[in-house]
Amino acid sequence: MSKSADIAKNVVIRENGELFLVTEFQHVNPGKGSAFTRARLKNIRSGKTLEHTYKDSDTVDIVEVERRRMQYLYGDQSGYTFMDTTDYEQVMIPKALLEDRAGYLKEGQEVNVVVFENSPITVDLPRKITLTVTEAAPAVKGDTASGNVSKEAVVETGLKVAVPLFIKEGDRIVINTDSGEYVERG
Amino acid sequence: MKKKKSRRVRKKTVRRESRRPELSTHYAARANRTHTVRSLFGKVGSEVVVAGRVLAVENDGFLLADETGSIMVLSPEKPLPFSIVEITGLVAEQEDGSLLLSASAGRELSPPLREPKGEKQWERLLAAPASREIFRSRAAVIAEIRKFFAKRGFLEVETPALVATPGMEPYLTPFETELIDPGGRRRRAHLATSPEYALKKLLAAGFERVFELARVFRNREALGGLHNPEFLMLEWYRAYASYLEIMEDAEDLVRHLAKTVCGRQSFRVRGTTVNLGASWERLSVAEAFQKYAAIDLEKNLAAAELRKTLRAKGYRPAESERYEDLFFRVFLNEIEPCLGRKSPTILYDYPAELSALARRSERDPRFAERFEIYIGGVELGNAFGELTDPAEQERRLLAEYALRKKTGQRLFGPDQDFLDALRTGLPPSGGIALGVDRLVMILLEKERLEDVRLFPAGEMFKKTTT
Repeated sequence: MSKSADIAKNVVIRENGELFLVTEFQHVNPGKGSAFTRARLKNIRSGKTLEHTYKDSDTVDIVEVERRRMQYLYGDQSGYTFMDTTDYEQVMIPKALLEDRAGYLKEGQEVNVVVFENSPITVDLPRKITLTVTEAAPAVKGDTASGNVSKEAVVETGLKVAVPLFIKEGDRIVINTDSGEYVERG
Repeated sequence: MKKKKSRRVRKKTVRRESRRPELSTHYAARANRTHTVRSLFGKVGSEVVVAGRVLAVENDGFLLADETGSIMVLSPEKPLPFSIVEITGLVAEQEDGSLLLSASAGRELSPPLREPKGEKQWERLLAAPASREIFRSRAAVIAEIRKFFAKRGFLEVETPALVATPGMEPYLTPFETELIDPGGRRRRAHLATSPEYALKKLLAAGFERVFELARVFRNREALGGLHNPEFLMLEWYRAYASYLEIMEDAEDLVRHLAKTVCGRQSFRVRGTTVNLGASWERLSVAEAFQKYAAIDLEKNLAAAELRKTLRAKGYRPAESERYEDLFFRVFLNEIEPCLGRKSPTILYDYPAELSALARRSERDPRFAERFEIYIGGVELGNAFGELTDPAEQERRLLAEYALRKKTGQRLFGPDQDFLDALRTGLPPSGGIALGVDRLVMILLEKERLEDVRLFPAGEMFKKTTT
């Protein structure tokens, strides 16, 4: 058993017999009794999410998981396929578990796959990732009325990102994988 | 030794001299612009001078933006992206009606030595001027708050942010500092977690309607999301009134701001659409426990009973857990997320134990006159029928002192000046504290406080975040 203070992103927790992946968490001291941790949990079987609030005195059943260095191959209707480059074993993470993070996965990219009892459940993403812009309209004509000068660009993984106007097709840009926002030119 | 020193000095002098002329060439003392970008409408065919930042450079020109808008400048010369320039040119109209500036001369006013990284709010604003609208709306909210209260006969007051004795709420951690007089004598000081004590002293002083937009400070809170260690709190108090009038004020104020600043009453908040114009739901805490958690709160007003009930529901509270913690386990998990989903919810009458500064209800003294406002599951404000009995107030503050001691918190005695104000006599009063940053966040349909604060704490204190 661990303390609720040990809750972190991508940790797997057992709660009422079911396993959940922590996708977000925040330590809060809101004046509502003693401090607590509010976690967003994703059921690793169904992909359904729920929020749970732990008091800091609570113990939490954090489950040991394995992390394997794997290469991302491709995604399709059923899920996302990764390959272990040492033994060429391929594994698939079901779509429901990874859909919201898939825009940060580039074919051929190496990532840590989180594996629990031989089932891959998610990947550890770096906080920032650099991707190439594949579509970006040329700078708009200027908007004298509103001054709105950001535009939408599509990067190589299909992810859409709001970028400053000077970004062009072929530019490498750094994206924050937590917020999905443009950070800087890569 | 000596030699070394003199060489270093000489080097410095040389560098400074060589830098001087550079400065005067590259950083203009003033701009000579004749027009802002927005004022170029109707100026087709005129020669104008505009100034602004270069946001994008294209094949045949570049995009120039000032605070009022942006315009494409046709120019064979390419300034550096992000440089600040002044352009003389002829205003032309494109086929689709948008304006162009055909440059005849240009001057760099300020060269960019670095590219904005977009990690700080001010850098993001620079690259996406439209988002500056958020802060114009924020200013409009604050201006309308002042108008609203002026119209209702409230006096705006300023109470200190630097205080000797902060609020004693056992779960709030005030920022500590020190006051040093010219003689070097030191006194303990704190940043106020709320202007509540001071405003109640003003009720004793004879002011009957007061409000304050106060910067308040709370340590050990999250650096983002729904929290920022420093935030803007709106508090208002009415003498010879109860918490019922405060409920009406709050409802009217929020509707007024939605109408004047946003021109509508429907808002998307955390995945739900909340209608601020519909009559606000009024739900007692006991009703909420029944409705959302199937708990009869009247039978669970003591820690032992509530602990038993929670265990039956599958919670695992410790034997030592206090009533307040047990209460909030259920509240945070089962009730709070359901509140204010369609219209705002006024959740009222809390167990007396959870309301150190609120008077007990005349109908049922096991409960206190306290309410909170929830919009889309977000707590927006906390109000009391003010406790005016000095003896009971002192007892409750001492109980909070004891709890602070037990939980290892920093200790300070009750604010005697506040207790003196109660002993001198306070009219029956109601008052409320409402988080302005959260209100702005809701009205602008943003998810996080850092979207509506110019300098979010999380960006300023990056290295210390975990």
